[in-house]
This record gives sequence, C-alpha cells and structure tokens, in this order.
Amino acid sequence: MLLSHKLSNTARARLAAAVLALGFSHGAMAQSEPGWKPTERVEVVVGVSPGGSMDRTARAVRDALVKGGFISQTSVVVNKPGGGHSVAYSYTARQKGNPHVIQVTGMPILTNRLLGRSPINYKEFTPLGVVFSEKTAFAVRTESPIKDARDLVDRLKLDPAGISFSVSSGVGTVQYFSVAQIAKSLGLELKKLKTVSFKGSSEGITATLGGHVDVLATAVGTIAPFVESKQLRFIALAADERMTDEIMANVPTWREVGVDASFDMWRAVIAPKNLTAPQIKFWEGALKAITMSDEWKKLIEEQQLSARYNTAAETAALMDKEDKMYHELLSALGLLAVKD
Amino acid sequence: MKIAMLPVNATLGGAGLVVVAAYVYGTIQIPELQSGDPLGPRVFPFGLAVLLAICSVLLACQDLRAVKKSSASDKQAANDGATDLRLVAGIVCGVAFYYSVLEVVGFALATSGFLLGSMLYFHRESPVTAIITALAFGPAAYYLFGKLLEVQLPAGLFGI
Amino acid sequence: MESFSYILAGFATALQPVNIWYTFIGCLMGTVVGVLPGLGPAAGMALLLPITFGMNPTSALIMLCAMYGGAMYGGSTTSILINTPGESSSVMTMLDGYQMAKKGRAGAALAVSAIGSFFAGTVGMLLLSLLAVPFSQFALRFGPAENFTLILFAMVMVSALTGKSMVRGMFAMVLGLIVCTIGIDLQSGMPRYTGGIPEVQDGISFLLAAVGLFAMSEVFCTFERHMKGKAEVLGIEGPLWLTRDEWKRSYMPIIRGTFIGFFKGMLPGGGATIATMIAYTVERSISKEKEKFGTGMIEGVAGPEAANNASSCGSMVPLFTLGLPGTGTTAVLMAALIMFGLQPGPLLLHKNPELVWSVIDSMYLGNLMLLILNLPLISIFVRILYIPTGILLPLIVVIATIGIYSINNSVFDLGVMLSFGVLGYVFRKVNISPAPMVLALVLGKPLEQSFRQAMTISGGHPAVFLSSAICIFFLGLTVAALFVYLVLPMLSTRKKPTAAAAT
Repeated sequence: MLLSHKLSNTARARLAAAVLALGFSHGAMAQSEPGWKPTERVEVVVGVSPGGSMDRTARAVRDALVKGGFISQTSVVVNKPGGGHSVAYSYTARQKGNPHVIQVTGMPILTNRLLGRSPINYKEFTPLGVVFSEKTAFAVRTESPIKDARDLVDRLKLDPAGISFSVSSGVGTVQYFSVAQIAKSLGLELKKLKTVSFKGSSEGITATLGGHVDVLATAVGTIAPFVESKQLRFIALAADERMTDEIMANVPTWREVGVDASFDMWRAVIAPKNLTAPQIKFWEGALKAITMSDEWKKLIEEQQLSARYNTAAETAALMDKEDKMYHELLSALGLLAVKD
Repeated sequence: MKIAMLPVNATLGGAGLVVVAAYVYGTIQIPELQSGDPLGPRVFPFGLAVLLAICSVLLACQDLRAVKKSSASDKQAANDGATDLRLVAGIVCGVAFYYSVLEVVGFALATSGFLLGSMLYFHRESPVTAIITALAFGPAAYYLFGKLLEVQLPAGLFGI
Repeated sequence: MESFSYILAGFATALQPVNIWYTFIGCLMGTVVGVLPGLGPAAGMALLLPITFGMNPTSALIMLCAMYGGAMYGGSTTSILINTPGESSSVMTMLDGYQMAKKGRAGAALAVSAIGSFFAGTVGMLLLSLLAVPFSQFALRFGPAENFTLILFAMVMVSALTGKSMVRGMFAMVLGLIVCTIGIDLQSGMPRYTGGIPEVQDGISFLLAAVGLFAMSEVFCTFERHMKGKAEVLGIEGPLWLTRDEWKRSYMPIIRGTFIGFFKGMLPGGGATIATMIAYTVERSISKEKEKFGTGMIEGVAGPEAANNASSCGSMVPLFTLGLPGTGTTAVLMAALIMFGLQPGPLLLHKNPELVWSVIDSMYLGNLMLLILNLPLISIFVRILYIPTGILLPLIVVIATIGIYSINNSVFDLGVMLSFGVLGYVFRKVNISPAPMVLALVLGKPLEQSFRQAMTISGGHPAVFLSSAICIFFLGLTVAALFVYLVLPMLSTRKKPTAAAAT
C-alpha cells in the first residue's frame, strides 16, 4: 500500500524559486562521494497532525534537505497522526528496505512499547541521527510563595501532597518522567505527589497562570515568553548543565540542588530496516550537513532548543542506553507494560 | 400486543445491557497503577456503566407499560414504511469495498468506480448522465482537493 | 489610546491590495474546504497551513484567518443542505437548519446563517478590539474545577435536546460518553478499551461519529425511500431570501447569540460548541413555540450561527493577549504564528502590535467579503437540492469520504465512520436522535478530565467544586436547568397525554 502525494502547488514553486534566487548550493556536500543518492521523491513521515511542534521539526528537516540538494523538490511531509506516533511507526516499519522513507521522532519510539501502546520495537528501524534536543524547565507563577528550587524541595519533603504539578501532556511524557525522577531522587512516593495532566502545554500554562496549579513542567521555549512578560518565573532546569542564553543562564539545574532529574528531549531521524551501508551513509551525511547550516542554527536559537547532533551509530547507542533507562524507571514507577 | 411487532424499547434496553456488560468487562481490564490521579481510570467508566444500565432498564420498562396502554409512539418509531435491510446491507458492503480498495487503486479510480456502480443502480432514469458524472467526478475531485488544496489523497497504482 | 492608532494602521495594512487579494483567496479556499463534511475550521486550516509557507507572516495570517471564516460559513452550508455538520459547533445549526431545508426554506436558512455570521463576526471583532486587553485576565480564573462546572452545565443543556423521550436521549448521551472513554486516558496514561489498535489510542474523533451518524445514515435512509419511490424532492418554496416574518423572528436571536458566543469564546474548554448549545437552548426556552424546535425554526439557526461566529472572535482574546489558545482553531493559528518565527505569548500584542491589529482588521474585511461572496452562492448551493437523488447520494458519500480521509489519511477512520453510519441508521429506525450522542462525544473527554484534574489538585476533596464564585454560579445554573428541563416536563407529561415524538 503505497501512498503517493504528488504536490505541485504555487507555494512550493515559489519556495523553489526563492531557493534558486538566493543561490543555495550545498549540493556539493551531497556529491562528496559516489555512493547512493535518492532516486525518487522522499517521504518525511511524522506521527502528528500539521501544526504541532514535531510537525514543524519534520517540515524543517524536509526543507533543509531540499535546500541542501539532498532530496528532490517534490519530496513531502506525510502526516500519520494517531496513537502517540504509533500509527506512523507502523507505517514506516512496514517499508523495509525502502530508503525513500524517513521519519522524524522523539522518545515515544522507546516508551510506546514499554508503556504497552505499540508492539513495535525501536530495533525495527535504522537510526540515522539526532538533529537537536529540547530541555524541560520548571516554573511557577511570579507571585508564587515557592521561592526557588531549594524551597520547592523543602516544601515537598515537608508535605509531598502540598504542591501540584502540571505535567503538560500526561503520563509517559518527558515532563511526567522528570517529576517522577524528582520524587524518586527525594525518596518520595510518586503517588503522593499531585501530578495533573493537561491536554497540551497551553492548558497547563493557563492553569498555572490562574494559580490553579503550583508548578509547571514543560519545554523551555514554551515557558520563556511568559517569563519575559514576568508572569512566570523559572525555578529549575531538568538538564545536566545550565543553558547559556541570557534568560536561562541564571536558572539552576536540578543537580545543583541535589536532585537527580535530567532529561534531554532529543529529536531523531529514523528509516526503515534493511538499508544498505551506502544508503545509511548518505542520510547520515545529509543530516550532519543540515544541522551545521545557518538556517538550522537560527531555528534552534529562535525556538530556544538545544543544538545537538549524533551520528547513526551514536543514535543507536543512545536508544539502547535510554531504552534500558526507561525500562528501569517505568518498572520502578509500576508503569511497565512489557515483560522482558 | 401482536407478536409481529418488535418490542423496540425492550430490545434497545437489552442491547444497552449487553453494552453495559461488555463495558464493565473492558473496565476491569484497565490496569490500576501505583501512580496517577487519586480517582484512577476506572471510576468514571463505572459511573457511566451504572447510568447506561439505568437508562436501559427504564427503556425496557416503557415497553412493559406500553403493553398495557398500547401507545402509538412505537409504531411510528419502528418504521416509516421503507425499511429495506437488504438494500442497506448492500450499500454498506459497497461503500466498505470502495474504502478497502481506496489506497490500492488510488482515489480517482476507486471513486469513479464506486460512483459508476452506485449511480447506474440508483439513477436508472438516464444512465448517460450517471456515467458522465461518475467518470468526471473522481478525477475532478482528486485534482481540486488533492492538487490545488493539498489534501493528501491516495494516488494509487497509476499515480492519478 | 495607543492601541487606537494601531487599529488604524492595521486597516491600512489590511487594505493593501495584496492583502485584500489574500483575504479573498483565503475566504474562497476556506469555503471550499468548509463544504467538505468533517473538515471544519480547525482541520481545514491545519490542512491548508502548508500552502502559506514562504509568504510574509502578516499576509499568511490574514489568509489563514480568512480561511477560518470561510470554513465556518462552509460548515453551516453542509449542515443545512445535506445534514452534515462540518464540525461540532455546526451540530446545533443543523437541528433546525436541515429541517428548514426539508420544508423548502433552505435559502432562508442559508441567508440567515450568513447574515447572523456577518453580524456576529463584525460585532465580535469590535468587542475584541475594545475589550481584548481589559478582559484578558478573565479566562485565567477558569481552572479545572470551573471548567468542569461549565461543561456539566452544557451537558444538562444537551438533555434539553432529548425531546419528548428523555430516556432515549439520555441513552444516546451516555453511549456518547462511553465512546469518549476509548483511548489513552490522559490522567493515568493507561489505554482504555483500545484492544491494542493504535488508531484508536487517541480516541474516536467526534467528526467520524458526526459524519457517520448524521450524513451516512441519512444517505442510507434516503436510498431506501428512493428505491421505494418515496424520496421527497426538497427543492425551494417561497423566496430564496428571508420573508418579513422570518426576518422579524431572526434578529433578536442573532443579537443574543452574538453576546453569548463572544462571552463563552473567551473561556477555555469546549470551544464554540458550548456557545451554540447555550444559544440554542436560550432561544428554545424563551420561545412561545418550544415544541416546534427541531422542526425547522429559524430562531434555532440564527442564534447558534451567530454564537458560533462571535465565539470564534472571543477565542482570539486569550490567544492574542495571553498567547494561550483555548480552542482547536486558535491552536492552529498559534502554530502558524510559531511557524512564521513569531513568539506567541503574553507579549505578542506588545512586540508585534502591527501584525495583530492588521490581522484583526483584515477579519472585518474578510467578514464583509464572505457575506458578499456567500449571498450569491446561496442560489448556487441550493441547486444541490435539485440534483437527482440517485446522483446526489453517491456524491455525498464521496465528499464525506474526502473529508474524513484527509483528517488522518487513514482508511481505518473511514471504516469507523461507516460503522457509525450503520449505528445512526439503527438509531433512526428506533427513533433515537443522534444529536445528544454527538454532543456528548465533544464534551465527554473534557468533562471527565477536568473533573479528575480538579480532584487531583484538591487531593480528592469534592469541596473544590464549591471553592469559587464561578463554580457556584455554574452549579446553580445547572441545578436550575435540571429543574426546568427534567423536572418540569415530567410533571406536565403526567397531566397531558403524550403526542407523537417529533425528534
């Protein structure tokens, strides 16, 4: 069952013209060796509907690959929403040996199986590389009595049920896991903590601004504008190190206050299984090239993401490592749905 | 009470109770975890099951009362004189077939095929109109929505 | 007043020929997409979003907002003509709109919905321009507990739609709520009743149910009548425009609907649907001919249509002043803002006032353009009713197919929609109105989730639902509505013998 989408519209044509006019010629990078090159249009699969943040990543990857001359102008983003990416995973996994389908993904590729949402193992794909990552921050509203991360820790130790957390899109997301890590690290029972799930980060922010929920945990870039308008205040970052930009440089990591909570929400590109070595090499090189481009750096800066690149082999190792980590974490939380 | 007349409310109530049973069974299958909210994922469904059970019983009771009063509302409810289950089953199968081949042969082709079959059957007054409309509409809709408006429609075998 | 000069500057931008052109294109495309059943403003805009890539942000947003308006107009067209709501907020319009079409008054129904939308859109925009900043903090007072009481109130309003046979209505409503529990539970993260099928993990979309229950089942029943030679030719009776009497009956509902809609639009949760439900029930309860609602009352079209459009203006208040989308459609708009490199948030209005006001001002223009575009289109659209049944019905099936398929690109969804079609057919045969089920499908998820969110925050104490004035207000309304819609009719039916149910 092959879906084809022949799109030839004015917008794309205009974009193509603009690209030509500006004279982008990253093409040289693509031809550096005689190996494999895509022979037809490429499908960039993504497991969400148009407009979401993962969809934006997929479109950015597609546009950058086109600009770099790696894939043809006719290549498209294919939205396969459903089941927290599960529908898209099974679509891509079915295309064994097809080098013209790639998928943009994040951590659900590991956790979906562990949570019992999808039978598909991450090993059924060929990892191609990590293109950037996003950090999770904790914030409270400006007038909140919670002064800082240390104060929050003290309050939690005193009364674990005294603070409510907005973990934006629910159990099984990085936000939830970072709260879980805090509980684990402080030796508190997770069930005692008040974790409230909202349909999306916007709903979580609304509830936090209105004072209905005490602490908000979500992506840095989502919170930043509200910190700028002095409605919210960062208290901690769930990362190994502080971020370097103006606003974030003053925000301590959880480690600094003695809490072991750190998560990197990486975005990776994967392909179906059974790709040949030259094909993997091509995609690896293409992804490396686009993450080095100025457009990519600008995108990362604008949306307050974190620059990160990993090779195909590193990505595979990362997935192995994190799969183990999530396995442990989920079984400690009693959320593990698989027995292996 | 005639035997021929199906006791609609009692049947509905019975069907409702079957749904309740299946739903309660499904609810028990939801794993309860050590984490999450204090109410858990089962409470709300159990409440709904109780509500549906009450509605079903009430519906069935209406029939029992109706037996005594021989209310007219059921006759009107049950039939408007045109029920033709075989026809509806045929249409459903036709549409299901259309959907099953949609991604295989592509939107334009599948649609024209479906339209051709159904229009020839239902619009017997003028087969020529039916044929022209059917053949034109598939590709035209594919072009308008698939190409101009970027709706992702399956192109299928021949890429049209 | 600083913002006043921005408003004027915004008009200057909006009236640039290129932006007028984009408004026009947006209106047109929105109308075309909106006519597809299943593709309401949110899904339609998300679908058309890629077309705007590479345009300048102001023009792109202007075009998107025009599409929004166009899709809203288009949605009511299908509701009225072929009994298929484009999105949840058109369900109420459909109840009486389609009945009007059946009586040959499709032209009047379309005209009143165009005029109501235009009026509500214009007044809504005016309110948005004037009140956005002072009202911005209001939405924040709605936390989970407040949302729950509001949605509960709306659910009780649904029971008012159950007509004479309340038990049947409740039966359908509870079935709808049950369907809502399918999918991954947000609070616990556990899949419920999914049977391991990934496609249903995100739940059953309301659109699949609505198109199946309304449009497909209508198609099945009409096929039956057609083959027995009983299919009624709808056609048009009387003038295409409103008669004097219809006009007199419509203008007050339009005004009331506008204010109800705008006010509800500012609040999170439930979207415009709740606004249309409240507007409809308000019209019904103050009407002298309550029992005629559901049989083609023009008030039942005018009020909800106005509320629908005004609500979309109201929903822009939190988007532009707080950067927080409260509805699916504003969420798509926000995604567009981010895509164009703008940072939506509380400072959007301060950082990019020109852009925000140009977009708002272009919506005045878009509204006017839609009215001009749609009034002549009425005479074209009503011709749909003259297409021979044997040709029209298969076409409706195909158009519904395009609409549903394009949401998730999934054949599975088409199968679900078809199953709902069969269920809807059964419902019709046993005289159950599908409307309560469909509305329950829209409200079921937020009802359960906001309840559990509030209970989590309070640590399991139900007193949280009495903790604020807003909660008490809505709970009070709920009790009053329960009394008026459930208790009073029960008492009165004891006295009067039951007439044949109309719905």
